Amino acid sequence: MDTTNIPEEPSEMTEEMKSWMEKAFQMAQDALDNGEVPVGCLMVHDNQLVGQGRNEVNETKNATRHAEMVAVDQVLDWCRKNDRNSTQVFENTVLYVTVEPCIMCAGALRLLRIPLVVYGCRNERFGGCGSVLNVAGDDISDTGAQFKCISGYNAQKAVEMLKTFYKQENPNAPKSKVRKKE
Amino acid sequence: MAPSADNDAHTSQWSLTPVLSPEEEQELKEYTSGNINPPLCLYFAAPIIDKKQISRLTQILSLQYPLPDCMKHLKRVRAQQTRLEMLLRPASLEEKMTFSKDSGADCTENAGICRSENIRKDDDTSQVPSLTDIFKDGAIDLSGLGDPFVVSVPMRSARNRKEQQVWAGIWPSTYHEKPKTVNLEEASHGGVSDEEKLRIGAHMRRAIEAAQLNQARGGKGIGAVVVDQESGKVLAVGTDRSGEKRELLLHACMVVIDMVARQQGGGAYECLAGLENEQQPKMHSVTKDDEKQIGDEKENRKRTKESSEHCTGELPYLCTGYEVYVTHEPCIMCSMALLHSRVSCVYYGCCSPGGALGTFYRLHCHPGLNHKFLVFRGVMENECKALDVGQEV
Repeated sequence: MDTTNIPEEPSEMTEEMKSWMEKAFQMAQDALDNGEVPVGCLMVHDNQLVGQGRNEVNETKNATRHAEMVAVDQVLDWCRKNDRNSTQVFENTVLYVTVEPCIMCAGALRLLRIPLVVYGCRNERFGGCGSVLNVAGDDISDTGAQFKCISGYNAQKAVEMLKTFYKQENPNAPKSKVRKKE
Repeated sequence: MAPSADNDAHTSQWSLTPVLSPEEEQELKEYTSGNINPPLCLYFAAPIIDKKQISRLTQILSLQYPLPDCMKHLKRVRAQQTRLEMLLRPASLEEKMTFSKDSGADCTENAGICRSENIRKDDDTSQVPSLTDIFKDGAIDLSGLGDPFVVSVPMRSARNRKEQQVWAGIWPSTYHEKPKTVNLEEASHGGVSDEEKLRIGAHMRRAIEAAQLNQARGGKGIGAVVVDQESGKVLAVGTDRSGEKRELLLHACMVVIDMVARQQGGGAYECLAGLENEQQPKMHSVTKDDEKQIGDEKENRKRTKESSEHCTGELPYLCTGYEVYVTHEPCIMCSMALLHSRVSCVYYGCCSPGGALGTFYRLHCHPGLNHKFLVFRGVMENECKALDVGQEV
């Protein structure tokens, strides 16, 4: 999608959206400070924060614990506590996230029928909203609903945070095979 | 589908089909049929009339007219029955147009493929420019070269031994055997050994049994099993839980991924905490040398321990080296979750409409992603299909 390439702020972005995005960036900073991939996200339903998350892959040893998946579980908890129908809540919830959701998360968002995702920078390695695949927009059978994206808010900052993280070595990654052989 | 008479577990009729990338699919098709059509392009070549000049010519050509990176497989010199011949440089698009117009050779640039009978005759020199014209972009000392001609050469390196044989008949090329995602020889003869099929089937049976149990309790009837390839140990057996309002995303693959994480001291879903014991009955290891090892559990365990210590000396990283057996083709979320978890191989029974390991996407061999894994479909397909599924897999 061409729109994801444009670095300027998208016109559809409202002041309210910007302030939610700022909060998402604070979460990403928290992740960076805790040695996790700096991605932060919020889920907002009826102007109310119903879930938030940051990457928890290393602490759970579960590679699927991306910020979005963590936030989804918080929304489920919120629904339980407030006796709300989770299906209906997700269908009226906006996701704010500092980095384009990956292919897995984009699939999850489809399954939950989240209608709108606002994100900062592209995810060149795993992006599921146009960078590697367009899970958000493709016409996939039996896989929930397509969703709309507004991208580009503070993209530069999101990229810088990722760069800072990837400069450090991931202590949990397996030793390289080359080293093992020697 | 009608339930087949030999629905019996041990004689079940199913075949293991590798899910390949479009390129691999084409390669396998050509390999199996033996009908290999090499993509060709045209080069200028010339006979060597003074052998003493070979090393000088080779040197100067590699400096001034180096082979493009994608053509490095070509050897500069070939030995024909009566003489040696040397590749000079690729023919340009305009030059090719002239040849095909005049000689009627069916070598279109777009198709890039010429059938061997259409390969230009080497002695057809009617339209070939002179050596001086060929090297007009940088004159070189031409001594030692005879009258130039045009020759078809393979446009890329050979991908397998059969291709290499065909390539050799066209122009000598180097061939480096690359690790294959799938054994072509095996795949072209209809798959794996009976022994291996038995092993795969036994693990899938575990997934099907779990799915049946899940279905009986009102679930969607989708099951998944994680197996450590090296030891043959079953690490997790799980089923879809997404029917629960509270666990919308807990498809079978997401469940077993978290069960593995839990065994490694992690885990995210509290609802899965007690499950390992409930769904992990007897230790079930089916390895290649099962028959030898059977009844010698101690020896087996020792071997497993040793080999895992020998290989890593530490806890496994996510699902590295693990196989996943799942009754239905995983959706895009689950497929990417498996990729993030770095599984080594996925076996599934039947295809899903929105499936991402072959049906809608082929995520496991997507060129833009950092981890690739093997995928096979069709494992006990009928039994898997018979599990009545809900809407979303």
